[in-house]
Parts: sequence; structure tokens; C-alpha cells
Amino acid sequence: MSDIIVNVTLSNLDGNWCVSDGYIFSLEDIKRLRQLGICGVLTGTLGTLAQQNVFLSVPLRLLGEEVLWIITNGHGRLNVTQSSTVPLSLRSTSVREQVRDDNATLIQRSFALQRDTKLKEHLSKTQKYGQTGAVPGDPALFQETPNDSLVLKHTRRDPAAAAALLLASSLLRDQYCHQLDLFSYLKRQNFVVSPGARFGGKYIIYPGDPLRYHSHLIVADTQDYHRDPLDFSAISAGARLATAVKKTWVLNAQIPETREITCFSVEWAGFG
Amino acid sequence: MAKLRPAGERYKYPLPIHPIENLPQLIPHNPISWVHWLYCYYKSFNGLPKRISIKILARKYCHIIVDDPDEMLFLWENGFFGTGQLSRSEPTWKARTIARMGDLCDEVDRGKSNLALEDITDRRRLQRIDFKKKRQQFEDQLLELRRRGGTIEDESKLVAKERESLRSLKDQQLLSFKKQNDTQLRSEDSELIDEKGELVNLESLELTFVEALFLSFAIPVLDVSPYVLIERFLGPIATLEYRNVYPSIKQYVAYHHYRSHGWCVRSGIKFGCDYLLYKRGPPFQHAQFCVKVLDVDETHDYTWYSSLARVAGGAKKTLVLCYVKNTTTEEEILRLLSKKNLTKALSSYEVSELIYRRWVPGKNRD
Amino acid sequence: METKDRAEYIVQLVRNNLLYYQLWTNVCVNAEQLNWRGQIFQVITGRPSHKLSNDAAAEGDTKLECVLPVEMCDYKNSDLTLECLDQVFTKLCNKDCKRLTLAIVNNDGTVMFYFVYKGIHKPKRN
Repeated sequence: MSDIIVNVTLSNLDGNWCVSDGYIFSLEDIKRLRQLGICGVLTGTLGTLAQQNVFLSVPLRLLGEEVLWIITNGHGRLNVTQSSTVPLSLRSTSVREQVRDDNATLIQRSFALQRDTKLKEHLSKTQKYGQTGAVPGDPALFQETPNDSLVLKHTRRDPAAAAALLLASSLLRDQYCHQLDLFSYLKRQNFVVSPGARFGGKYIIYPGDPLRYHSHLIVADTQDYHRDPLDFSAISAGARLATAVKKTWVLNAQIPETREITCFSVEWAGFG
Repeated sequence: MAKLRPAGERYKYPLPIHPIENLPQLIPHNPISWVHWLYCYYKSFNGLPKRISIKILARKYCHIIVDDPDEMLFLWENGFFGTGQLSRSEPTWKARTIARMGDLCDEVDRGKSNLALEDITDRRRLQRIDFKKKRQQFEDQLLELRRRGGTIEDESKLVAKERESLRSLKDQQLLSFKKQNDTQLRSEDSELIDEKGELVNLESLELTFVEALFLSFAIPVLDVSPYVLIERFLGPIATLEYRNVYPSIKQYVAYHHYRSHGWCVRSGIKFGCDYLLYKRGPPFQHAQFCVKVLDVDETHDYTWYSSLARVAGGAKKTLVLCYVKNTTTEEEILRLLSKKNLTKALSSYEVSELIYRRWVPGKNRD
Repeated sequence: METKDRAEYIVQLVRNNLLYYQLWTNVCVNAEQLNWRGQIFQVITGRPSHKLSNDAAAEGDTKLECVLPVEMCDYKNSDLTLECLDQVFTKLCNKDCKRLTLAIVNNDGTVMFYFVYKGIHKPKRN
């Protein structure tokens, strides 16, 4: 089976590289991800009429840790594009010169063709006015241009593309690796994980496909096992919120020594 | 009994300071009435005859305690200050216990009106559990029926039966709610009766730091100076550091702000926020607003706001983000505090508010 | 001395609350203590006056609950980390104790009760 292709965009903001969320455009890939328990969020809409859409369509948007989970577990690979209008490959002088030279050759060829046509035109005219011997040629009205891009051709061949892939994966790793442990811990228990902002948490956890089950857990932001004290005010709000929607509020931390994830589930006791 | 007085009369005063009443009639063309009026005005006094005494327990997290029953009642009835430690808010523990142990305490006339809010809530919760248990039984039956492959008619018959039986349970519960007056005694309760055969009062009223500061600084009715209070809570005034003082000042500035605008302000910890705002007070209506006090530069990630707003929204309240800003320097505040000029220090702060509400496009059309 | 007095005050407050407000029975302050970075934690056990959830069918009769009194203050952080909570579970609770009831004593005179389960636990049936 071919790899699932996760599209990410690299952009450079004030000299800092950052990587976007992952996007899936292929329906087939979306189906396969769903079987893996990765549901993502459909985000495709009509640009001009965003508020008219009840059902969103492709692309499917993935969290950073989902992208990382997919590529580290060998289910798919990244396809990296650059958000800036000038591709990274054009920043290298040799590529730039190559493109310029190619362009120059093309232009020369086109000039030659035009010269040729003009010449033939001239011959046909002179023939009309009584001179013979020359054959009339086609006027160059429809010149065919090849369906490709000079720039893209270079991007593909370019070592910079490999660099971009490397950069994107390492950025993902830097940003999300500490969340990957918690995410993988939840995935190992066959939970389906979805973003939790709607319920004021980090994730919402479903026991299976969200279309078949209600979620029953809200996972709070990860805290430091040794240092972060419990924020009772936040726990009170979280547990109250979770209990009101028939869920528990899950506190979690990673034990740094063993890299083990530890969880505590909190709910309102029903009295007091 | 205090309980039977209408709330409007019982909670006549919004704050523990009362206007001067019972002044004689002033007759403009009768100079003697003027003299008499001025005399009465001069003689009358609207302060308390005696300041309310408090105890401050422990050192790190202080607990401010009022344990005289009359003073507890006074603070509750005049602006809803403090919380009974064994009650939801109003210190009703003694009355509740007397009602519960009715036989022992015959001197109190018992009746429906004796039911404290806590008792009602407890009973409702128990009844709700009963109700859900019954419903669960039916759902299990329905599941069983489906598993055996019952027909649609069987199913709808069962559903009709469920509806009928649940309705009659509801009616029964309503009825029993009215007449229920159970007295229960446990061996543990013997601890509550002293040698004279009287009920020990275990409950005291606890004031938060901001309440106590308000009642010593803004409306001085406690027998403690605001500076003593600050020292007990935050350490010696001379060595205070701004980062230690500021969280408390921020809370107080917001508290004072809403009290000055006539709101009844109570702790919002149960809703994960700082304050709840009541138009008049807890016996009259539910709180309308949850207030979270923030520094003007404080920011949090989106989930932080969204969880607060969900909690507030779930309780049909509106979340207010209250931003407090220091208009002078940190050093100036510390200098004013050390010169015991709390008024000037506190008036250097500005307050502004934002309402944060969850908006669901499908539901909130208007 | 200070921390000890303070701890006792909180424990007594929660004990009275369980016994005379929530009307629990068999309320008992366990002697075992956990000293965590200068703070003393102690557990109270007791039997609720009624079933606390409808899962109780599976639990049998009302069981002894394990209550951990902790103190909170609206403008100071607590000292209780998840590591400390782990210690409470292993050192202060019975092995068959399926959950801890956190009794959060606030400085506004209220006590809030929350169930805490070790690991991931589905919400109780209500």
C-alpha cells in the first residue's frame, strides 16, 4: 500500500521557520486514517461563502502530534511545500542561474521560430506579387507551449527539497515530541483523540469512532510531574464542566525519569 | 424565628451601615422642630455599638473567623458577608441540626419552613438518583428485549409503560417532598450535646481576606485595622515586595469596585472564577455574573478562557473578565502602603471589564 | 509546629463537615501521615449517608471512602504536585481503595469534594 500523504507548509516568519498543521487531500487517505483511529477535522469550505457551509469537506486538518504519530509509525510521509511565493530552491545561486539560462535559450528559440515565420510570410507575399519558386508557410498564430514549469522542474531535482523535508520533520519533532508520548499512550489504549478546545481541554477522548460513541474524557493540559502544583481553581472548573457533560477531567504528567505517562481522572463527587 | 421573616425585610440593608432613622419630623416654620431635629441628628449614631471581633487562625493561609452567633447573623443579614463553615453559604448548621434531631430539641417549632436550602438540595439529589435508577432499569429491559429480537409493538409498549411509571414516580416524589420530615439520630451525634444537654455550636462564619479588608477599610465594622490584616496575611509592611502584595491588591480592587457599584459579591470558587455577582443576594435570585480578575497584561491560551466560559455558561451565568491596571509605579504603591495611605494606594488602580461569551452559530441566531 | 497546627485545623474542619454536614458515619482520621516538603497530609475515612452514584450496583453497599483534605487559597499556589498525589495513593490509601475524595478547603469557608481516580476512569453513572 502506498504511503498516506500528509501535506504541511513551511513558512519563514521574521527569520524563524515554522511548520503548519497537517492537511490530507486524498479521500482514500482519509478513509485509511479513520481506520487507524485518526479522525482529524474537515476544514474545506467555499472561500467566499464560508458561513453557508454546514458540512465541511476536504482537506482534513490534523494536529501536529497526529502528523508526528503517522510518520513515526510508518503510516505515511510528509509532502512539504513552501508558503512564500519564491520557492526555497530559487534562493540558491546556481539554480537561479540555471533557470535564467534555460529561459534565455527558450526565448532565443522562440525568436528563431518567429524569424523563420516572418521570413516565410515575406516569401509568400513576394510570390503573390508575381515571383514564383517559394512555398507558403503556416502563420505562427498558435504556437504550442509545453505544460510544465521551469521552476517546479528544478524544485524536484533540487537538494533543497530534501532539506525542506528534513526541516519540516525536525520542526514537527521539536514542537510536538513531548505531546507525542501522551498521544501515543492514549492511542495504545485504542482511544480516538480529538482536539478539546470545545470543552476547555487539550483533547477529548472517545472510546471508538466518534460517530458511534460519546466521548467520556476531557484531557487537561500536561503538567510537570515534580514541579507544577495542582491548580485547584482550574480543577474545580474543569471537573465541574466535565461532570456537567458526563465526562471526567483527566490530569496528566510524564514522569521524566521513566518517560512513563501518569493520569488522574477527576469528577465532581456529587455533594458539598 | 428569623427564617419566617420575609426576605425583603430581613435583608433590608445591603451593607452593615444603616442610614440614620427615627429622626423627628421637620416643620420648616417651627424653629423648635429645627432645634429638636438637629439635636436628634447630632445624638444619633449609625456606627456599631461594638466592633465585630474576629479571630485569625494559622499563618500561611489565614482563616478569618467570626464565632459569635449574633455577629455571624449580623454580617450575613447586612450584605451577605462570609460563609458558614458547615453550610452552603448562610450559617444555618445549628438550625438544620436542631431540625434533624427534632426529638432532642423540642423547644424549636418544627415545620416545612425549617427546611434549609441545603436539605432541599440534598433531597432533590437523592430523588434524582432514584429516578435515574428506575429509568436505567427500563433501559436495561429495552436492551434485553432488542437482544431477544422483540417486535416494534413490544418495544413501544415497554416505552409507554416506562413513561407512565416514571411519571408516577415523579408525582410520588413531589408529594413525599412536601410531607417528609425525617428525624435521624446517629451515635456520632452524642458529641454534639454538652453536659447541660444543649447543642454545641460547631459552626463559625469565615470571611475571606478581601471581605475582611473591606469590612475594616471601606466600612470599618471589624475590630481590626486594615494594616494589621495586611501584615498578618502578607508580612511586615516595611519589607513587602510588590509581587507578593499585588495578587491580593488586585483581588481587593475588583471586590471593592463591584461592592461600590451596589453588587453583592461572593466567592466564585465553585465556578472556577474569583467572584459571583448577585443583584441583591443569594436568597433573592441566582448570581448573574462570574468574574475572573486579571492583570491588564495577563494572557492565557484559548482553552483557558473557553473552559471558564463553558462553566459559567453551563450555570446560566455570564463571564466577566475584569482587568486591573496600576496607573502608577510599583515603588509608589509600596511607599504609600508603608506610609499607611491605603486609600491613595488603592485609588491608583483602574478597572475595566470585558464580557466573554461562547457563541454557537446554530443556536445564537439573534 | 506551625505546619502541624495548620494541618490539624484543616483535617478537623473536613472531619466536622463530613460528620455533621454531609452526615457520614464511621468517620475516622487515620493516624498515618505523609510529610511532603514540609506539608503534612492525612487521610480521613468514612461511610457516606447514601450511595454516591448509580454505579453502586456494581460496588455493593456504600463503601468506606478515603478523603484527603487539602487547602487552597485564591491568590497563592498550592504545593500539591501529581507526584505528591501518587505518594498519597501509595502510602496513605488502602490497596482496595478505588478512589480518593479530594476535599478542597478554600479560605472562603467552603469545602469542595472531588473524586480522583488513578489512571483513566470513565465517569460514574448518574
